[in-house]
Amino acid sequence: MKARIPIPALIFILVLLGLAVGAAWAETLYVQRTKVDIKQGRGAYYPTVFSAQKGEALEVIGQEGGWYQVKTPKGPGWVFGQALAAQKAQSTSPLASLVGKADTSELDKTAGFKGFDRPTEEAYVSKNNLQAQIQLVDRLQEPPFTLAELETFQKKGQVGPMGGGR
Amino acid sequence: MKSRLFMSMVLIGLAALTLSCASVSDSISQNPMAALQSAARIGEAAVKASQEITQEQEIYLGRSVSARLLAKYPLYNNAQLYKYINLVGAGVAMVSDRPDLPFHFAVLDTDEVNAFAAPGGYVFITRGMLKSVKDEEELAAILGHEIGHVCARHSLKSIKGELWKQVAVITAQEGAKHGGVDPKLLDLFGQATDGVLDTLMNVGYTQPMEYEADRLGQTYATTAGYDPGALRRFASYMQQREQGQDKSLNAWLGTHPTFTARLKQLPAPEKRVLTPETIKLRTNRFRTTARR
Repeated sequence: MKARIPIPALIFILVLLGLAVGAAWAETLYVQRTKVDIKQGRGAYYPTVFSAQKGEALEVIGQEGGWYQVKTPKGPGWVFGQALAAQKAQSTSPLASLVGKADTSELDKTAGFKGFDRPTEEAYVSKNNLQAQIQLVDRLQEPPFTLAELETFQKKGQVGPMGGGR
Repeated sequence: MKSRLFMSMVLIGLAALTLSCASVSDSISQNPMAALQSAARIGEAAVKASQEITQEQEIYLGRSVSARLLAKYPLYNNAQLYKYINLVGAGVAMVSDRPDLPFHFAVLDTDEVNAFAAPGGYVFITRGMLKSVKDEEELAAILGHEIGHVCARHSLKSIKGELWKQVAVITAQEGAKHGGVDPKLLDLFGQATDGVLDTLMNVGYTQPMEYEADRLGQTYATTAGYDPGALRRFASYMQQREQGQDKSLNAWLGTHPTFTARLKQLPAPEKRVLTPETIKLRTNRFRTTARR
């Protein structure tokens, strides 16, 4: 005699599995860096959807190849796993312990900790007369290709993640 | 019979729900660590270094190092070539251990055979080096080597740990008191920039760092889809020049181990057969922009 699965049982199981997947992805991870750009795709060259700050909670809705798809106020985007952790940033940096703070985010608030930043760079550039050179560096930061050109280049050459690489 | 079957299916469903929740949830909560471990080939030291300087600070340091490099070497003014090496480099960088770091590639206008990787993803290759490169496969492997230096944070490791400690102490103790930039912090920024430049241009990385960058470069270029044997092929060509006492390699060899030594350390490449069409397309686009 053939054992047949009753239709209500089948529906029930499918609903359960659906809930399982949904529940599993409803996970929150926290930004570990001062600022992290959440991208439209899995790569630094995609446009930025949203910039999240250190300690900000992000709801995970997907995962692929070390990247997490998260919800943002501007829609879903992708962020690399190294910028996130399951718990809020608690720096283990030896620098923090030197000044008696266990958490550098706290250091940020209390002492204006910024380290090397834009004003430092500007002062350095001015002191060393590097204005022309830093303008060239600014230009280098703009990719000389569009995302569509990058995709075409990779697909035609069968290289990179858009062309068959990892 | 039917009700027993129904109950069995419900139990299976519940078990699936429990297992699915547990395993995927674990995978998510553990994956940030797993992502770090994916860079295990880089080693624990790199992870430690990453804790001492944020990516943002690394980029500022890389910008100042790049500005100093550009004060010594002018950029090569060729928009087509500039775009091409950025397209090749981006493909390799996207499969590296730091795919979220935007890398920038540029050609320096000098006959000197060299390539530099500044912190934060600024990669420079000289016109002299490009002349030594045979095809896109070799270019990808060389850029991969430089990307490897950045991923492993080699240049940051060349800066003494004491400097980072001073940065933290100064900013913590006096940062809030100053309206402008703390002169001591500015001095440390200059010292860090000088330290990286000295490594890039005079002292060179340690031999283990160069071998590690070779391994990473070969891995990244292979993962991106390029000929796994390209770096070995390029190194063999350079080894011949080295043995022929080619003087144009003097600056390079002053900061790098010999190609003979590097070839000994380079792992055997994986076997991969590329279609003739693919090779032809890549070779053609290389030849139209950056021919040896």
